[in-house]
Amino acid sequence: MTRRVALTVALVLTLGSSSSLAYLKLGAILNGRVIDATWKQQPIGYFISDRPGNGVSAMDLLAASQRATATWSGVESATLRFAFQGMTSAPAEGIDGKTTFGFIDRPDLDRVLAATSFLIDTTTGEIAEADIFFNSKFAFSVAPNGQADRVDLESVALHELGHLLGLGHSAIGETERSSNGSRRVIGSGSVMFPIAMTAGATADRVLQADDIAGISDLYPAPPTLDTGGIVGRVTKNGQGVMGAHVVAFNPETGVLIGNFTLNAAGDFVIARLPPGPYVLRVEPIDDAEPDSFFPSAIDTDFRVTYAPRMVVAPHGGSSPQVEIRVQPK
Amino acid sequence: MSHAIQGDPPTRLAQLALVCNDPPTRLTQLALVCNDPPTRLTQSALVCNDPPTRLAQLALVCNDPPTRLAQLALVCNDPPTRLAQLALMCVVIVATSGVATAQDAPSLRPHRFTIGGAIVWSGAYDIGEATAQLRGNGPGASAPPVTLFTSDSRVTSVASPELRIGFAMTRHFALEFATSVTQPHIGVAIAGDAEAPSQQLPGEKLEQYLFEGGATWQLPVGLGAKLAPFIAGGVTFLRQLHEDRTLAETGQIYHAGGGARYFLRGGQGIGHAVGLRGDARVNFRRHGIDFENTMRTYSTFSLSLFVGL
Repeated sequence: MTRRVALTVALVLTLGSSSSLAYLKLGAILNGRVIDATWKQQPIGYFISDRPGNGVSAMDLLAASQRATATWSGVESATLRFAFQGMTSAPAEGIDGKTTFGFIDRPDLDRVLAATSFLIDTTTGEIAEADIFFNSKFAFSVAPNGQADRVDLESVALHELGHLLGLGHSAIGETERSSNGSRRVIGSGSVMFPIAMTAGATADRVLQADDIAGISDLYPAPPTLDTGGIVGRVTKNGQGVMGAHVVAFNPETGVLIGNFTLNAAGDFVIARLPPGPYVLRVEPIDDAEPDSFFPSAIDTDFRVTYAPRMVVAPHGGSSPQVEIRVQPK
Repeated sequence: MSHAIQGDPPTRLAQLALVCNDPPTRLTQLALVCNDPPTRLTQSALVCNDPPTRLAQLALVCNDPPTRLAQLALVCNDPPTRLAQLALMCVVIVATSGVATAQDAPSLRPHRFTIGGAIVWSGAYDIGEATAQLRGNGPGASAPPVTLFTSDSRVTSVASPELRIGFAMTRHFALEFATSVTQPHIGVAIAGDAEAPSQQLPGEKLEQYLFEGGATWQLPVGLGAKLAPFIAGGVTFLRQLHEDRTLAETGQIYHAGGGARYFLRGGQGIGHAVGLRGDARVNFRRHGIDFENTMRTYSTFSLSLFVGL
């Protein structure tokens, strides 16, 4: 007997809101163990709602969605297939057995560009259904080179499709506070960064290494490509640090891939890394509101710290455990 | 010729003049003047003090048929530049010394092995700078990137033991094989991080295995009865293991350099030679751990004790 729960995960792409984390995976708890939430059957069929958006049509959304699904499907180290099932008059919400993308007017969500909701089988972690709504409060664009004062629809679709596939937010990015208290992105290292680029930007139509590592971890291509992992622990005064953001930087390739310490012991795993030595940088989640990523309290009272030495991701398997000791601010 | 051999015993320079010269020439005359006893320094001074034209004349007089020495002198003499003069003088000094000392300089015994142990100091070298960049935020698709931090990595200098085995093909030419294990560090300098100070990370310890094949050629230069200079060249297979032995990389090192053997015992073609050896090299490292995949240059110096078998 399977048990299904509906989730509307706080996976929202916000304008001028909060920031920063490397790839997280959505999960379900089975017998006390967290299992990844993934699609077990492919191709992943989806419908497009026939409601138009602000400045774009339903057909524009279809075209943008097809480009975005092709981008995810094009990741060589992952196995992903999508299939457009047709247009529908149903809204992109609710449990109806259809995975639907569409526009919905939600003026109350004045900082939410789009959101993804799921129906997950908690006994297997299988995603049974997911809907993506794009907020018609905002003006979107599908212009090839972007359009000033309009949000690029394909970039937002690519981000939300990452959630639909089971990825959480990434924290690889830097923001600055504006005068009205909102945050503006200075730079990001992942499409899954939770804050959108400036209106008119189209750079997030292209996946970054962090996104690719995350999706390859969830849907590895057979045979598994030659990658390795780095495992370790972040501690402060001898105690584990929960919610620390750990970024691995490969000096040879320039790749930045991150993850978090996800338990009270401060343990972290960064998987799907091309073999080689990495510089590890640990930072608190201070470019975004922590509750954008974690439902429980996390430790943000420590300084940015580098691992004392480079850590090697081997050919297959994981590195020996590395401990990174951080100091309080 | 008769007055040229009046030295008792004849000096090396006089011998040279005699070899070159029949009948007596200016060179032997000069040698005689300078002789009692002529040191190497005075010999050099003798050659060097003459203007280039004189040098060419001397070389020509010395020579029937023309020798390489004379050819060099002549080449240099029309018109001789200061640099050419100096270069020529050096060649002349080396050549005359070689002729003079070829029979007396110490050397390895042909067709015999030597074995030696060395302490090698290898210099540090860079393995690449890198910038951790974030995608910049701006209209369009190509906003300037944002730097998160930069890293500058370097393999540190290290001293290590080395085992060297040689086989003398001739008195002057030897083939050699050497192996060593070294443990340098990869030091990493972090800079440009808006949230952290610039810092030097202690780094990762490497394990390096080097397997070298090369050759030495003893120069025909007399530096006394115990000292024998040589030049050397070769190639090394490099295997590098990261700390924890989780990943290995391989590369090649090409080297050129020279040094000298100082014979504590032997070196005259009989008995077992024992001596000290000093080497200085320039190394060109290709592949191995490098974040920019470019040729790296660094120096090594070594001091060894060798035994002829």
